[in-house]
Amino acid sequence: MNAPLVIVGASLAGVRTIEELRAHGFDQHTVMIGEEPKLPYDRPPLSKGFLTGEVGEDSLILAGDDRLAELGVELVSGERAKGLDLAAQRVRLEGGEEQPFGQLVIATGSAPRVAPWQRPISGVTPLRTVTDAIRLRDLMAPGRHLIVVGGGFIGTETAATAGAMGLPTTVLDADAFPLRRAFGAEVGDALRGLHEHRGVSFRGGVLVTELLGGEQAEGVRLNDGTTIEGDIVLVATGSDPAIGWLVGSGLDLAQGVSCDESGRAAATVWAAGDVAVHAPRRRATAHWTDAVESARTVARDILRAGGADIPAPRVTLPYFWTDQYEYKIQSVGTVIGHDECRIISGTVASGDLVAAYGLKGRMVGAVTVNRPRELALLRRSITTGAPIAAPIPA
Amino acid sequence: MIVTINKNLCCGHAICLDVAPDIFTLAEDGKAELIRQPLAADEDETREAAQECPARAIIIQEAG
Repeated sequence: MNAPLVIVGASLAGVRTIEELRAHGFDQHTVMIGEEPKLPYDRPPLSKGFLTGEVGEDSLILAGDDRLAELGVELVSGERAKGLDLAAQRVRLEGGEEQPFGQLVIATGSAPRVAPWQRPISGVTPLRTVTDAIRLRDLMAPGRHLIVVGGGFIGTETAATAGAMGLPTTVLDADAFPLRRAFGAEVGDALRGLHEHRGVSFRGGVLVTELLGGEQAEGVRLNDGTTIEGDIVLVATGSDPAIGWLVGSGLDLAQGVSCDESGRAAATVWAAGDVAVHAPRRRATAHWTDAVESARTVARDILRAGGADIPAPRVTLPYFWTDQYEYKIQSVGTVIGHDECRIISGTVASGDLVAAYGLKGRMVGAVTVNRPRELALLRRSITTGAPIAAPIPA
Repeated sequence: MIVTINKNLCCGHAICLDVAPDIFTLAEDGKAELIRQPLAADEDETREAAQECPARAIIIQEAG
């Protein structure tokens, strides 16, 4: 028997890779190695409905036992990959075993960045895994005060969830606005106002220098000398590609697994999802849709490497969204690096914003709040390179 | 191929409109709606729309 396809990472990217392969008749035995003793699960609800209890653990599952059997996947869960021997085509597992592979897909995702002031005391947690989310959910009891360090997606979504639950919440960020790198200053500033209107305080331009408390978190000290009290501290200061296990493997690891546009990192090795850095980009992106798209790209390249005549998938525009309070904020195209921001209608606060972003007269990006129909039209306009002066076709 | 949309799951990402504009549109409630069932020539992009749906609200039953 040929060595199997091995997917390291029981992740969205891992599941979507094998789904795409099987949809095109790929019949090789496949082994998926997952670090957590869990079925593959989806993460977006972890900062939202999962914390309120609206979404249970079962509904996060991307592929249950039946689906995995249908996909012909042997899931090895609760097993961590600790090394890669490229020459021998083997993945070394923490338990001591070695898993041979014919082709390898690296889909280990990313891991929360550990802050320099962080200590493993009660009340302090990152939010990446379902285990983290259960810990945070249990901490978010009435009477507690939450400090969110980092105003990115995970930080602001969690703050919105906590705020809506009535938990006193403070968001801290080094930048003046939350989510500026994602949505730009205009929308970031409006989001800050939105949170403050809901009773979530935002302090921008500050850094945490110290975690206060002995066995239990009591607050944080900031670089301006002030302190903020809180008994839950969510560390949401970003994440880094989980590539520690690949050090010394010979793969090019810059800010992730470097790969070509097809997701290939070596002759028989591909990378999909957060862990992959594609040639035209400088660093990995970590949005849900990026993981889905890179999985499909990788699957098709594996099929082509096996002799199949199948085109690369259509290139889609970057897309991401965030759900905060009753607002769905969606972004398509490139919002950062524009030279013009045109508010077509509405505002963030009134929950009906439609904004187009231009570069040199052409529309390159759009942000909408609760306006999916307009987003769809603007997506089309960006694809066709419509002029920013007439962003929505008549 | 038969395609259905689970309206309870759909939350208006509207990616399907871009991927398969002949098959999907948005209804007044901001949720996806079928224009018509896919023909053989539409099957690839309909599958792609289902894969790209973050809410997994597009359900495809393959023939056979």
